Amino acid sequence: MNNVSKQPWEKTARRRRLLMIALIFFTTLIASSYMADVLPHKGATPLELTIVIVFAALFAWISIGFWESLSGLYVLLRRYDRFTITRTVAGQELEIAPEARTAILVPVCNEDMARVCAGLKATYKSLEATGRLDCFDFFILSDTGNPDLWVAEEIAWYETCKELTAFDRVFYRHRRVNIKRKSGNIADFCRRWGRNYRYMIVFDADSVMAGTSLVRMAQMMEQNPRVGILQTSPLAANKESLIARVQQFSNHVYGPMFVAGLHFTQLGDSHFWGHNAIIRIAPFMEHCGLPQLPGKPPLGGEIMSHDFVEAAFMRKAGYEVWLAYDLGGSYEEVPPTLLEELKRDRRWCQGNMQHMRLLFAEGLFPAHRALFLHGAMAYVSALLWFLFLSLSTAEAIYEVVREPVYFPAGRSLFPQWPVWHPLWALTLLATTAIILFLPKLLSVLVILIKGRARQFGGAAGLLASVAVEVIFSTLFAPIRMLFHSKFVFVTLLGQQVGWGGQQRSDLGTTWGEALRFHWFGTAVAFVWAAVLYLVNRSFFWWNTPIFIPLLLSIPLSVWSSRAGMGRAFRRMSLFVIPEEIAMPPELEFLNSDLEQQQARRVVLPLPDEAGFARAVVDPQVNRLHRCLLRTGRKVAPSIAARRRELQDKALAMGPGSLSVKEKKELLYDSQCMEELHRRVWEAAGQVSAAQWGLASG
Amino acid sequence: MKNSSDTLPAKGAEASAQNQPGPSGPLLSDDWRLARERLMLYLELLRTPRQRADELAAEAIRQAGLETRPNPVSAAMRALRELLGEEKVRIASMPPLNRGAMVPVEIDRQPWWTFFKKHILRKK
Repeated sequence: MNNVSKQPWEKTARRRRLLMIALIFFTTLIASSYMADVLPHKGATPLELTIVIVFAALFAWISIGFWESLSGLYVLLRRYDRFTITRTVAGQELEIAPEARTAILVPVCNEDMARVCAGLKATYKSLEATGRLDCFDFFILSDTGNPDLWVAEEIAWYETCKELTAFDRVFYRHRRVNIKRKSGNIADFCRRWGRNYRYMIVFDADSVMAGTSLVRMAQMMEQNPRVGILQTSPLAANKESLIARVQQFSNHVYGPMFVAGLHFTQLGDSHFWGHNAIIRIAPFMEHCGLPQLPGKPPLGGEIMSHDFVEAAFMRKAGYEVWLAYDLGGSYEEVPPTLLEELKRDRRWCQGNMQHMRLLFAEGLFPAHRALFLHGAMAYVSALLWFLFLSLSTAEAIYEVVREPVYFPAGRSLFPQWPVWHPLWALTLLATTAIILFLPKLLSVLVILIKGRARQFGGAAGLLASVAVEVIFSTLFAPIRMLFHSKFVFVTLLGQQVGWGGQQRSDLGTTWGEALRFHWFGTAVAFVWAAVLYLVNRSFFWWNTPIFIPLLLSIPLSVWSSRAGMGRAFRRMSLFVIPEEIAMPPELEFLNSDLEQQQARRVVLPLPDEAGFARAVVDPQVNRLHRCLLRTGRKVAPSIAARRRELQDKALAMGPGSLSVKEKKELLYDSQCMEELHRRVWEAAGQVSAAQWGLASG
Repeated sequence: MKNSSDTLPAKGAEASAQNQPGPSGPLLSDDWRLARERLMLYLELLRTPRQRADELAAEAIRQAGLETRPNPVSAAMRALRELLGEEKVRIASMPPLNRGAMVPVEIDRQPWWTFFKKHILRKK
């Protein structure tokens, strides 16, 4: 597909992108020159010049969001969009050719399998209702390293298949070596079974999709053979903590206009966000195998944020990448706490920074280079903001402590007064606020015009929610800024991050955790505020919107993580989303299934996380686990002897005495597991039996 | 794994054990009662219906009692496993392999340097 003729959308996209660049450039130029005027020396000193340059970069960054939102408004209010990809299948029956088989992939890594399988079942049932289930298979692709969770996955898969009677449609694969993490997991699927399918739809562990949307996605791919990746715009739903509800609300209110704006400029050069998207497998296998970057992590080694790179490679190969911004029925969940969000951001930050090493790679389309830059700027902008505040503080202190020079060397008619105009500064602040907040108001306008206010709890509730959301985002912005700055900084210093599982349940943040994570920000804010208060009090007041949230970051982090707070706001009709007014059947099924799973009676008094012990003790789990292992492998006598010693240790001291590595070693050996099962049940000692949950009543 | 409603509660074994004949007479000694509880728990985990579980446990205890100086729990569990036999179950969690290739693409991250090396340095 490499040498293909130009498509009509490409010309339009070029025009639109040029317009966008011009708008961003001129807005930034005007704002930056205004900024220079606001400064006492009109940007003439090196410090002020640096401030103006950093301000220009920041203003350009927020202008991108502003102009993208305005173009989104244009797309949403216009009744006809000739480039929307969903138009190609509008009005068609839900039919797919039998040979267009699609695999739905659910990559998991140390996840809560009750939630994963509930989402899978909800999607399965919804797909079944369309009558097109026969064209789809499901794969749970596990990269789980925790042996207890590995066993839990096997049990969950078995129960799911039994419940759905779907042993021939829902598959499970556990990977021993997690090479290249998620991208390697998907590539492993492609190598093993990719040839059986024409498409794959990649899920996240918390994804849920409506059956009709899945069928439509496959139809769009069939209809448009040039499309290599089709991304949906997932809606955030199903969380109850306050911060998650705020994010869900923002995603529903501001998201549609923003993604429509992305579609306006990107067209067939769009994003791939790594999940809730359909991919044409053959070109993906041929052109999207990710290379290793030279050097060591964090900026070298395996490519962590694979999605952007895969989209760029797909496009390089001549296939298009589209965003189905108006296709509904695609859901995901947001992190339930600020700390979880920041942990995720740390991984994303490292991944996006890595993309900068591919910025000039040969053959990539300019639009995808821009996406690499955009992704990195999402985090670098925080560091720039921090730098801007630091430089401004330095300037404010410098202006106070230095001796003013009214008569500089050289001839001059008048003395030079370093003048600072608060009104000008207020005007600049107001302009920045418009750039930041006008898109939010316009998003509300679109909802009101389209008569969708009732889906958000009514017009009054919607407006009140937006007002409170603005306060929330203003409060959280400095906290996020400080953390993101730190992430960029430590990534550049060469510190790597782990890539483990995420906590997705609404458990909340404890005061201890919040203190551990936020003490540094609180201390920085305290010192910063104290110095400014003593040295330059007027500048101190200007910076209170930065200091106050940082000083309050510990209670803000704890309170916003609480599901009770989220529910209290719900009772006040705040942050209501359409899925809370009329829950889609898929989410309804998901929630009721989770409730049912919690209500199930447990025979063995073993905690849920004791997967290894369960695999040893429970005869059915033991048999299931042994069935799923590779068979017929003989081990060296020395290894067999070591495993016998591990068995003895486990039997004498219980499962808790084994390390993760030791548990895994035993779990990989079918014969060992069978023997250990037998020996545990035949153990006469009460103490030993009790360690395995076999205590006598 | 999920429990069905037709299985025994774990402690139900104790009450029914009182009336079971065992190796040492109509009432079981402590050791044999413990063995019977273990058997009933095992059968419950296998989701064996209650009546069938009672029968199997009684038979396993009877057979275990025939051993000379048996350890009740070990002997009873061995006997039960003999009675149950090893059920040959084949569960496949993955479809048959259909291998294909997916190799990492080679990318030139510094095309200007490659160009320089290829065209400028070579000429020199």
